Amino acid sequence: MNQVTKFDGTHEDLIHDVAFNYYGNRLATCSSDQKIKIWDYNEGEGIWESNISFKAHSCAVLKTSWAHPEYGQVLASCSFDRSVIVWEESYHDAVKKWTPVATLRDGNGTVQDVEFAPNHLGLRLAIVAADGLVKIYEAMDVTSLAHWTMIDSFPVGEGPSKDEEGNHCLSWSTSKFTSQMMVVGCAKDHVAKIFRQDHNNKWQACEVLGGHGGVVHDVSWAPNMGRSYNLIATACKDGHVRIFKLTDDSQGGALTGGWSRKMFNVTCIADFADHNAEVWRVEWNVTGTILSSSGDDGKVRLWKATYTGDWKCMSVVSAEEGPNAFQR
Amino acid sequence: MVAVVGRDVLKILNVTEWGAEEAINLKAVGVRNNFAGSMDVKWGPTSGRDAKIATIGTNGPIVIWDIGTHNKIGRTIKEHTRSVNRICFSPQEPNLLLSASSDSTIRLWDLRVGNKPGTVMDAKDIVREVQFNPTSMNDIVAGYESGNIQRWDLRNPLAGEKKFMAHMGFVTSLDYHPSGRFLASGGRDRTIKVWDMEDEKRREIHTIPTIQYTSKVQWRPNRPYQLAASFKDESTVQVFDVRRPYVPLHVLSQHDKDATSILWKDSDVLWTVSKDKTFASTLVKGQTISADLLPGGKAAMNCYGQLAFTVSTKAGPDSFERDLVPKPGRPNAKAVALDGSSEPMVYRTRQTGGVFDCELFNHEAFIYCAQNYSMEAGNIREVCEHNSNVAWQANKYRDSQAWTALKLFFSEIAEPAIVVSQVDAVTSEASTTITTKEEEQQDDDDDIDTLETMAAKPVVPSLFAIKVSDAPVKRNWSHDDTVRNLLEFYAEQGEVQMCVTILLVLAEEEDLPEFRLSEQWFGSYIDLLSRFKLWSIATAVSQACKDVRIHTMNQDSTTIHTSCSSCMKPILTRAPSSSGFWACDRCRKVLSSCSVCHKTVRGIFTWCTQCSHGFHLQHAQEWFSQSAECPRTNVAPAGDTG
Repeated sequence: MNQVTKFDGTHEDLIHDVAFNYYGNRLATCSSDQKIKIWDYNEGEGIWESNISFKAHSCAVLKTSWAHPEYGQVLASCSFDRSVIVWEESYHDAVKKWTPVATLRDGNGTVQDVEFAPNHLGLRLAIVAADGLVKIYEAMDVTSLAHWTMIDSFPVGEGPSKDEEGNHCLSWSTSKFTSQMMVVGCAKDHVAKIFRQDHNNKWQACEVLGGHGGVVHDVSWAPNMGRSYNLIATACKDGHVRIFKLTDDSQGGALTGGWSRKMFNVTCIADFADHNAEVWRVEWNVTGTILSSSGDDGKVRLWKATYTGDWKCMSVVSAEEGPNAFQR
Repeated sequence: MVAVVGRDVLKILNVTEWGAEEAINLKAVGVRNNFAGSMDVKWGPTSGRDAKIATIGTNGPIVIWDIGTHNKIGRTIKEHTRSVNRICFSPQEPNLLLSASSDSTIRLWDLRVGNKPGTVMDAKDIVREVQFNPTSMNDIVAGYESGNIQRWDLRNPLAGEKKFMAHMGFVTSLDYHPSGRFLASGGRDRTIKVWDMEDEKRREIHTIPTIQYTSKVQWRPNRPYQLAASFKDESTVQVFDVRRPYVPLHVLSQHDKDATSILWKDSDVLWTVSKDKTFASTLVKGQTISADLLPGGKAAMNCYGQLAFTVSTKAGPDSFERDLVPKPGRPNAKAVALDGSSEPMVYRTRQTGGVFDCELFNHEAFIYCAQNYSMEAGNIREVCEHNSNVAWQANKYRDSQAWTALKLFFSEIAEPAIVVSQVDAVTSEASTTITTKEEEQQDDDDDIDTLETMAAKPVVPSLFAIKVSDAPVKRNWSHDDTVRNLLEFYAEQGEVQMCVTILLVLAEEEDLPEFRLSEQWFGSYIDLLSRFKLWSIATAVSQACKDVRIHTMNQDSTTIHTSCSSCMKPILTRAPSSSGFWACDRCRKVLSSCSVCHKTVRGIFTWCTQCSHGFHLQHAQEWFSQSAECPRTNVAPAGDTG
């Protein structure tokens, strides 16, 4: 394993999110120091270089998400300051610059997650705020990006939520040939729920992923890649990483269009407490075969299924232990 | 007891552990005297019989209330010619009151002497804020509309010290550190700055960027590094440790609307009032540490198998050092210890991270295979052989075996003997190669078992016995199930490359039932190819797919707009009355004309690389065979035309 680049000291406070773009050759990091930093891969030297850093919000920047490159170099960020800002890279006199093209600010409370929808749905993004409302925005004119219209809004739980300590998170299903789906972590209920559009294109709460012993910090829907089932991973405050398998009961219901609230048979196929500390984030690789989880134990763990279908920890990575940390 | 004032509130509350109740309502007294509303209130430092509070009336004057004996107005001060912005009692000399006014003066009032005019300090700037130094009686500091801060010595009211620029925009709030040495200032520029007033250079030693501009800032008693602030248009009150400027220690959300003022009752209890017309007393100790709610780490993987991550650790419970560690090396030159210790510390987060090359995805093999696999659906045996070799070249031994096995399924009946030996050879060779590879050693062994069972099928003697007696057909036996197993196996591994290529190669031969997942495989494979920017291959795959949705994928949301090259008017190709695609409706010019014959070029259009004038291909060839220059501009095209 080659260590390419270290982040140490590049931000003035905690880095909360790192996100690769679609091609995997750019990286955005965002931090409590209110800045976003863009890293570019220098293929010749094999290192990552940070050329641009800009003040993005007036509070901690919690998450960033890249739009599909079809729409240009576009980034969305959400923050404690209750806003979501859409950024676009522009050139002025051969100088690259990130400019805020739109600010979405109509919620009460921290915007806790933002994620662009899969490309086939157009230029859309979903946000969830501390008030427990998921909102879906769409750029009506993909050439200007300044105008975003809220096309959907639905609460994740029953009744209003004013739990400042709660955390909401969401992840789109990237599957192209099913109805729109996403999984949402619901702060106070200690569960994650699958939301799906019904026949009237209304988002409905469907299956519940339960068994969490605390707030769900993060959810991640694995790229389907034509598997007969779906995988969703959750990161929980109770220190566990869980993988849920969604098998389609309804004999092709998902694909042929039949709608039902209980379409998937949900089973928790893996439950790991290896971190032994709060687990913050989980994310799948592009083929949905490797799961990464990061926890307060200062380690990233990578999980992979064996050929018999059991999920195992394939390696533990930490910055301090250098190249030996990658234990096969 | 706390005095609370507002637009039509003038009360004294009695705050206990269990709640607050109204002790005295001065509104009635105030209404009678026309001072019902107030902008600011301060308790005099004396208590008991001499207790006084001072308020700034909404309609101008400063009103001193004698509340120790009888709730009445002691004195009204009307000398300021414009509105008063802040008043401040001296912490050491209880009868001295300072007032800051928009009439560009600061005035000092001695309340012992009835109706004596105050000392006037001419600030030459609208005075927003004034504060006494808690340790030095004659030292006061004032904040101005221009963003300047100025220190005054009360013994010399004619001239203050030199002003210094503290903020862009007006100074909203000032508070002296209990040590008397440091000053916190809030400004319109949405920052709180901490100044060392003993340093002649007047540099800020801490800067806190805040969510909104502060309406009030106050140091926390007995916590030398902490201060609380309320903000304009912001319902939360935040407590900061100045050593960690970006993350508030606590975010208190007691109110629904803007918190307008704050006051530390003691080091653990903070009193706040808000535009939602409530007063709140908050036990700050034990509140959620807001840093605990912030995600401490994240990992992400790209399609090249690189892992980018950050992770943090928390050491020990509830302490400042839990999230932060002292920075190694020399402390920052600006650092000054606020708690009186000689060693100033600069901290950094307990977080590490970077981008590592973890080889999580063999992208080189993927790209090699994508570029070299044959997807032709004709000659299965040759194509399988070719693909097997490609996979072998890419060190994908398992895939190479699979291709070989596929080839065997379609083998001519004449060569069963060769087939058997070939399978054996390949299998043994593959297993030795794989065992020398470290990667996924055990997993691959499992895999070989499955493959061997698959590959072993053709060599089962009974099967062959039956088949050989049949008429020579291309397909040895019905192996749809085996192929389907193979596809599902690869789908399970996320190897859509294999799934798609096999599907395409077998498209005509294999009577495969409709795979409802196959379009997902195509979609995913095309997406993966796009990530590696292999556009041509992605297009070839989508063109080769029979599924309509995949086949027409590239046509989705693709539109071509044409405009006239001389007047920029969009060309409507379908309008019946118009001249169509070949001429512009507005300027009546012929579009894309040939520079030689001046007729519209329909078909291959070539153009001069220098001036972009166009030609019929034939005319261009003829012209440039005789002349080196473009017929329109007389410049020589660089290199070839078209």
